[in-house]
Amino acid sequence: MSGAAEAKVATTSLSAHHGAVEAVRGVTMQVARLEVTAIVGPAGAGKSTFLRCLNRLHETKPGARVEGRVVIDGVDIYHPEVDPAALRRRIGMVFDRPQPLPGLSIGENVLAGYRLAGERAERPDGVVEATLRRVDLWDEVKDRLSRPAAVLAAGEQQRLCIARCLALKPEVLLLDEPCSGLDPIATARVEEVLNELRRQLTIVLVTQSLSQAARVADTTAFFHEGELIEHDRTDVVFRNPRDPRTENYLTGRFG
Amino acid sequence: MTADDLRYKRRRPSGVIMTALSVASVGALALTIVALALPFMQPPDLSPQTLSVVENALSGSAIIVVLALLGGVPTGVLVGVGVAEGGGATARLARAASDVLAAVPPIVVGFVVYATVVLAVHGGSTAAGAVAIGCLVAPAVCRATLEQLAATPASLRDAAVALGGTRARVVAFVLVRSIAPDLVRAVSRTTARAVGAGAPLLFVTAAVAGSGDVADASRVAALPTAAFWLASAPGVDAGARANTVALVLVLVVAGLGVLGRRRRGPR
Repeated sequence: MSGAAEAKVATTSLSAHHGAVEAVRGVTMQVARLEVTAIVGPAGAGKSTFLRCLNRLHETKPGARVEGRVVIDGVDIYHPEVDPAALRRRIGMVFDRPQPLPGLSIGENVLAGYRLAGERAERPDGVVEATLRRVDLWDEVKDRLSRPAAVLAAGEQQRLCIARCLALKPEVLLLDEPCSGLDPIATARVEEVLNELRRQLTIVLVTQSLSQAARVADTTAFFHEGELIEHDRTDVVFRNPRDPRTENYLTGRFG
Repeated sequence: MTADDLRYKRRRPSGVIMTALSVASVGALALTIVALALPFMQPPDLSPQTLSVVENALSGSAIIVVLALLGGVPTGVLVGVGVAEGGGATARLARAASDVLAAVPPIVVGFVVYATVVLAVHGGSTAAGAVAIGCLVAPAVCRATLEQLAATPASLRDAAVALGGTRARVVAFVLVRSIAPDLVRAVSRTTARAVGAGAPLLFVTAAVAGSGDVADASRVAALPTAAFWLASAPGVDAGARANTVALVLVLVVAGLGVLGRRRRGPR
């Protein structure tokens, strides 16, 4: 990538397998600190698998295997001494479908990360309010914090899921097509939240929406058949792609 | 209007017709049974003596079922979670065992508990009854746990793991919690079955229940066994008293059945 800022996350020859299938093939890539990096590409390009390698979620699937290195702040996260659970608290992740934890209220969902770690938040009420304000959800839910999270609309649930990650004060936020099931208004609200967070966190966003990548991302990476084809500043990738496959994808010739 | 709404609107009349047909067929069946049984039925006897029998049988059933649930539900859930989460030969063996046990007729369970518990302690007891009923409850709960965990979306587990939860905490605080309402319903249905399970209790409580007056609080009496012993006892009142006990049993089972089919709200 030309003109790269300081890297927060760096992968070297990263390959990820689902059983015998190699979903990610030797990806070497750097994610700049405090920037939004979008990953685009057709279905089956290995985008989500790559994302799941960045917080060691991929390895939780039966038959999954990872080769190569993922370095965050100079530390190889696949080193045997790295605790995956502790790592995942530093690297938050939001999925394509909002997944509020069942049986927990809105407030309890925000604090779920602490509970799963067997910890208690200092001033839990303060954490809930501050975190929900960061995702612009506080005014909508402040009077029903004890209600089940399932009563929220899909867009609100997705912002709640982002809040749940933020409550743990992560350094990196991974988003796997977070707006795929949302309407344009809810999508816009999520993108507003990402714009608010972009200078506080390093964000990696997998998206099928090229317009979303263009709106939100500082840099964009194009994946195809498990390989990283191109990664550069978003305006460069969209206006002057180096690889014909990128151009073909961006112009809708495949994907 | 979306395609789903249109499809739903189109299917709605047929749904109403099918529901009406189902209710009508069940109603016709119930009416037939009542009409056939009515000539042989005696009106329930509500005398103090009979109510004493009912009270004793009800408390006996309650004690036996509560003890069975206390043992059977945690065992079923733990084995279910262990089988679902674990792998290898032990998990496969446990799954097969729970499948077999869930399909065993209650009378066989009663016979096994009679042979292993009652004969060993030289007499029937509430505890033996609870063991027999627990042997019916545990496999049913285990299967319900397995089915519900299998139906839990992988994305829910991913979301919990991505928050930094250890495997044990994810299972305990997220997965089991997520299936808890379904488990409660499964336990309600199993309890309804257990309360009405007369065959195993006749085996394991026979040693004392059959020996004398079922109204005696010192005897092991449960609703199905009390109904059985009363119905087979000589005397004009016995049938009426058996009917009263049977009526209470039907009401209890029906109540638990309804409880087990409650709709779930947003969680």
